[in-house]
Amino acid sequence: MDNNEKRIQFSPALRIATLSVLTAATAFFTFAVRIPIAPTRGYLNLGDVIIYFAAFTFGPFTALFAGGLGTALADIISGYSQWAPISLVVHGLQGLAAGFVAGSAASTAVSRLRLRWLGAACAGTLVMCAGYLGGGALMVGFGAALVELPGNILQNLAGVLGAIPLTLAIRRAYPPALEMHW
Amino acid sequence: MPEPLLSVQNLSFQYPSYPNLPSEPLFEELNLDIRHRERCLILGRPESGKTTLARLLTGLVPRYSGGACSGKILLDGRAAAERQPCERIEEIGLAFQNPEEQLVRSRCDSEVAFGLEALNLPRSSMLERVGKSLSQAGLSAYSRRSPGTLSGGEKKKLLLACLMALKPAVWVMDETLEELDIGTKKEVLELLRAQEQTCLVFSSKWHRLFADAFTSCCLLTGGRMLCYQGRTGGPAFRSWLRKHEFLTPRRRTSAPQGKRSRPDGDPLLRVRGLIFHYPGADGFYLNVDELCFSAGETIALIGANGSGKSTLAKLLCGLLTAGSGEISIRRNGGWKAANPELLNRFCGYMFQNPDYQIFLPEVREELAYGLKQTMERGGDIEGRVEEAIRLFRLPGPQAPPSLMSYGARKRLQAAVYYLLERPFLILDEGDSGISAADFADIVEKLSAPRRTLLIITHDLELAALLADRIYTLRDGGIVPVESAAGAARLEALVEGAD
Amino acid sequence: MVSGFFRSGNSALHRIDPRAKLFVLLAFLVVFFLPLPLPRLIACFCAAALLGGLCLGLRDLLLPLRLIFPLLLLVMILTPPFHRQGVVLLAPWGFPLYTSAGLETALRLVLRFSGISLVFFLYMRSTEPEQILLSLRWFGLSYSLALVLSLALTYIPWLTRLYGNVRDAHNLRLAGVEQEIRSLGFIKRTRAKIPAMTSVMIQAVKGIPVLAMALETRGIGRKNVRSSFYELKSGRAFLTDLLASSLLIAGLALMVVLFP
Repeated sequence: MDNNEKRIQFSPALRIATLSVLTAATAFFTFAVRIPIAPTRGYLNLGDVIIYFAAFTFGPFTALFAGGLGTALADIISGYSQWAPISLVVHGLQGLAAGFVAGSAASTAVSRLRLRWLGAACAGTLVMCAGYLGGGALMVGFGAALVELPGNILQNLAGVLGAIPLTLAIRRAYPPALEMHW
Repeated sequence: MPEPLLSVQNLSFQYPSYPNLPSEPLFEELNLDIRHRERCLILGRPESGKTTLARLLTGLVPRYSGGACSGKILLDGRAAAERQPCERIEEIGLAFQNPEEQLVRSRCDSEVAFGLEALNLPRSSMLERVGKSLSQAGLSAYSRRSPGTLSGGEKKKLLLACLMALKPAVWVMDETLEELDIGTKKEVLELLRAQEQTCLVFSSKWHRLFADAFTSCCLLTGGRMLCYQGRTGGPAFRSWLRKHEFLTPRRRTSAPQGKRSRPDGDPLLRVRGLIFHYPGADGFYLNVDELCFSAGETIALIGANGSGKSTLAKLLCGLLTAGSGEISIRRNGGWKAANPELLNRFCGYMFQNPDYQIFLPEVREELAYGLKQTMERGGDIEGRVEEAIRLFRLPGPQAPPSLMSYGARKRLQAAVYYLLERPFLILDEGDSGISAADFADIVEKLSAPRRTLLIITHDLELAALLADRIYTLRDGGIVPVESAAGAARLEALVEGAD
Repeated sequence: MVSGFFRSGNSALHRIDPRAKLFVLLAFLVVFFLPLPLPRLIACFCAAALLGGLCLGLRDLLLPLRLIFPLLLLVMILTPPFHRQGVVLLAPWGFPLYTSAGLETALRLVLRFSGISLVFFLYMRSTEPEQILLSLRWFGLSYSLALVLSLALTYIPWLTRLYGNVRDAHNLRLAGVEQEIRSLGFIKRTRAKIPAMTSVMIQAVKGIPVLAMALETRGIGRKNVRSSFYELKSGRAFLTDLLASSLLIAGLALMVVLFP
C-alpha cells in the first residue's frame, strides 16, 4: 500500500452506485417536483434537469441509463406505466445524445463548457421531442402528440436552465464528482 | 507468540487536499495488532478517524475516497491491498456507523441474504443462515418487513445479523453499540464473548458495560493508537482516558457571564394549549398546556426517541401547524398570536443534519446568502462574515463547505444562524457527531442577552451543564425536570430508548 | 404518490407467475395495435376490463381510466382533423373538419390507448417489483441493471424525505425575504428551485461512493456467479401458470379472428 494521491476507483460497485442514485434522482424530480407554467397548461417536471446534469457531469452512458430508467420508473410510480417503454427509449437517447455532445467536463474552461452544454441541450431537445412525437403518435395519434410538442420544448428549456447552474455548483462544491465520468 | 490475525504497520493516511481546503494527515505511523479471538475496544473522540480506520481495514478507503496512504495492513499474513474488498468479505466484515447507508434492500431477510448471494451459497443454506441470524438478533418478526420501517437501534441489530450470517473472521463494528439500549448492549457483548469472535468495536463513549467485555482496549488519538495495559473501568483507567483528553472534565467551559446564571427575564415566546395530532399514529398526540420562554435563557428538552421533541420544535418555528392552541410572541409589551409565517421569521431551526441548507461553493457565500436582503443599506456584510469565520473557527472564506469535516459544517450552520440574528434558536440534537466540548462552545457563541436557545439532546449531563432549565416530554406533555430523583429517572428513561 | 404501483392482494392475477403474465400482456399489446374492425377491438378491451374487474375489483379499474381521461378527450378532438375522408359530420364555415372516418380513427386510438393503459396497470398493480425484476432477468436483463433498479426504488423514499427537509431548511433560512414567486414566469420559478435542488444533489452525489462502499461489503464486484435468495416458480407450478396464460392468449386470438 505504498502509493501517493490515489483517484477514486471506478469499480463495478461504483458504477452501480452512480447509476442507482442518478436514476432515483431523475425519477424523483420527474414525478415529485412540478412547476406550474400557466393556469390552464399544466405542469413542467424537473426530471430533465437531472438528465442534463447527469449528462454534463457523469457522461453519456450514465445519462442514458439514469434518464431512461429514471423516467420509466417515474411513469410507473405515478400510474402511467403505459408510457414507461417509450420514456425509457426517448429519455435514454436524450441523455446519451446530450452526454456525447457535452463531452468531458473535467479540464475545460467554463465559458467553452457553457457553449458545449447548450449544444448538448439542443441535441437532447431534438431527440426527446422527436421521440415523443413518434412514440406519442403510435399511442394516441398524431394530433394529440403534436399538442404535447410545445410543452416538451419548454420542458427541455427548463431542463437546461436548471442543469447548467446545478452542474457548475456541484463542480465547485464537490469536485470528486468529476472523477466519476464515464 | 502466534501471528496476529490483523496487523496494521506504520499506517499513515491523509484525505485529498482541495483548493482552499488543505488536508491534514489523519494517521501517522499507526500500529495495531489483533490476535485470534481478541475482542478489542477502540475508543476515540468524534472526528478522530474511527470510521476512516474501519474503512481502511476493509479496503474501502482510499479506494472510494482518494487520498494518500502508506504502510501495511495484513490480514492473516496477506496484504489487504492485494485484493479487492469484495473478495475479502469472508475475512473481514464491517457494520457502518450509519445503518441507513448500508441497508439497501427492500426486505430484512433479503438484506441479510445479500452478502450470502455473493458467496454463491445454495438457497437452502441461505435460508437457514438468514433465519438463524435474524432470530439471534431478535428480528425474526421483521423478516419480511422493509428495513426502512425499523427504528435506529433495530437497524443496527440488522447490520449485526448480516455479519452473523456472513461469518467473517474479523468483525469491525463502527459505533454499533451507540444508541442501543442497555439490554441490547448486554446481548451483543455477550454474543461476542460467547462466540469468541475476533472483533474491533469502535466507540466514541465509554460505557460501564464495556469494563469486562473486551480483551483489550485502545484509544485512537492524535493519529496514533494507544493501548491500555491493565483492567479497564477502574479509576486508573479513567484517569488515563482523562490524560489523553477522551473524558473531558464536565465543567462549564467558561465562567458564567451573567447571561446564563441570570437570564434577562423578559418573556419572549409563549405556548398555550397546543395540541397536535400525529397523522394516523394510534391517537398519540402532543399536548402542551403552558410553556414560556424568556429572552436570554437556554432551555434543554430531553426525551426518548419518538417522544415528540422534534415535532414540538417544528411547531415552534412554524414548520408544522397545530390543531389547536396558540403560540404567541411578545411584541410592544403585549402578546401577539403568531402564524407560521411570523414564526418562520422569528425562530431559527438548526436541523440535526447540517447539510440540508448547504448549496454554495464557498463559505463566505453561504454566510452572506440571505444577509444581503435582511441587512440595512450600507451594512458591512464582508465584515460580519469575516467576524463569523473567525468566531466559529471555519477553515477559510473560500473553503468549499461540502468538503469540510462534519464538525466544521456544524459550525458553519451555527455561524449562518449567528449572522441571521433570530431571537429564538432551536438546536435539534446539535451535539450528535461532535464532542461535548465543541457543542458547548457553539452554544456559548450563540448565546446572547436577547436570544433564547432551545437545545434538544439525549445527553443529560450536557443539558445540565448548558441549560438554565430542563424539560422533558412524557406522554405528549411537557414536564420540567427539577429534582435529582427526576434526573435519575430521566437517565433511565433516555437509556431505555429504542 | 404511488398510485399505479403494486398493491398486495390475493387474486389470481397476483398469484400467477410474472413471466406468464408478461406473455399475456404482450399478447394484448399486439392485439391493440392490429387493424381490427371496431367491434372486435371493443370486445378485446372488454375482455381486459373483465379480467381486471374480476381480479382487482371495479374500483381499482377506474383509476387508470381516470388518469388518462383528459388525454382521451384530446384524442377525440384532435385526431379527426387529420383524417378527413368519409361522410362529413361537422363542417364549420364550410370546411370539413370532422368526418366519420376521422371519428372512427379517433375511437380506435382511444380504445388502443385505454386498452394498453389498462393492461399495463393490471400488470404493475398485481406484481411485486422484485418479482418483476426477477422475471426481466430471466428474460435476459443483466444483474447489474436489475440491481440498479431495485436500489433506485429504495433510494426514492430517502430522496423524498431529504427534499422535504431541505426545502424546510431553505425556507426557514430565507424567511422574511420577499419572494414573489407566484407571479413570476416559469423561468424564474425554475431558478427558485435550484438552491434546494443543489443541496439535494450534493447530498445525493456525496452518497454515491458511500453506497459503493456498502455494495462492496456485500460482495458486489466479485467475479464468481451469484446465487439468488428470491426465486420464481419452477417446475409444475410454472408450467401450470404458463398453461393458464396460453389459454388466455388462445381465447384472445379466437376473439380476434372469430368475433362478429
